[in-house]
Amino acid sequence: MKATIVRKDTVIADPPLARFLFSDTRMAPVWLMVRLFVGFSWLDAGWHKIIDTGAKTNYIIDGQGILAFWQRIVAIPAAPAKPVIGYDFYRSFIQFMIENHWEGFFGKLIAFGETAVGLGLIFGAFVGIAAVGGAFMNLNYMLAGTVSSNPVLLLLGFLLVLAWKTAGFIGFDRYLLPLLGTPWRGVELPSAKPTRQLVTPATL
Amino acid sequence: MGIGILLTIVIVSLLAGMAVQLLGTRKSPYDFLIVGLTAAFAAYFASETFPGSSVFGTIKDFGPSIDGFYLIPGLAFGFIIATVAYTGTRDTYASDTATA
Repeated sequence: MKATIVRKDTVIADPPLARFLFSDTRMAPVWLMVRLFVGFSWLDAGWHKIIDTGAKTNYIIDGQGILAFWQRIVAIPAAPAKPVIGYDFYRSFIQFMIENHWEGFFGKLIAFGETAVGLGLIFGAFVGIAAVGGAFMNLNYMLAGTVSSNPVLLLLGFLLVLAWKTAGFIGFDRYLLPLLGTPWRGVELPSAKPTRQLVTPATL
Repeated sequence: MGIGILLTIVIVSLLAGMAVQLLGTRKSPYDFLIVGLTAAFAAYFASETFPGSSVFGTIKDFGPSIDGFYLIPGLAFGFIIATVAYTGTRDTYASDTATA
């Protein structure tokens, strides 16, 4: 088997299948459907929290809704029942937030954050950032013991992160990303003066 | 939603896609697929999720339904998303116009 020497400035290209799935604009209609599914799920969840003004269930007035959720999940039941949270560090983190009354801030952050992630994905604006935000919230909800639709949304969120360059092509990212300097089309390296190449024993 | 109406949505969407393929000015081999798939997905998605969601909580009546398929949100959203997908890919699948 031949050994391959790779210089530190070598760029390892993606295989053709990965390039087609995650970097090819022909896949944009597929990512549009994924974005709509994940985005509407977040928008529905976030909007539900924003419009909820119940004294014990609101998220954006004084955060009593998120506080009630935290108090429920940190409770340790009598054996043989298992606690909702599986990791002690996460239970300590939730307990810390309860004791320091962070429910007011986090209630607003969650409600408006979920809504923003949903709108970003639906309209295709900064899809990569929105998908990372959504996946991070999915991770936290699962650490808090809530399964529901979170595993599916987390998986689709990962895929949207991988396809961040093209997932928003049918959307605002088509115009936003070029403004930020992300090229939609590959830039050809000058062939006369190669600056990056894969060095193999045959080329030495 | 019943399986019968779901199959109907898929078939009607693909027929709409084929109509676009035949009548549209852009000649690419994938127009029927883009329009058909996105219209079918959007119609199914809107009918299944819009009624009962907090986003459309103020709407109490979503109009007539056939076997669980709400016609107005389904057809409207299917048309909108298929149009957006078709328009958004107008450059992506453009035929090679280079001549010798």
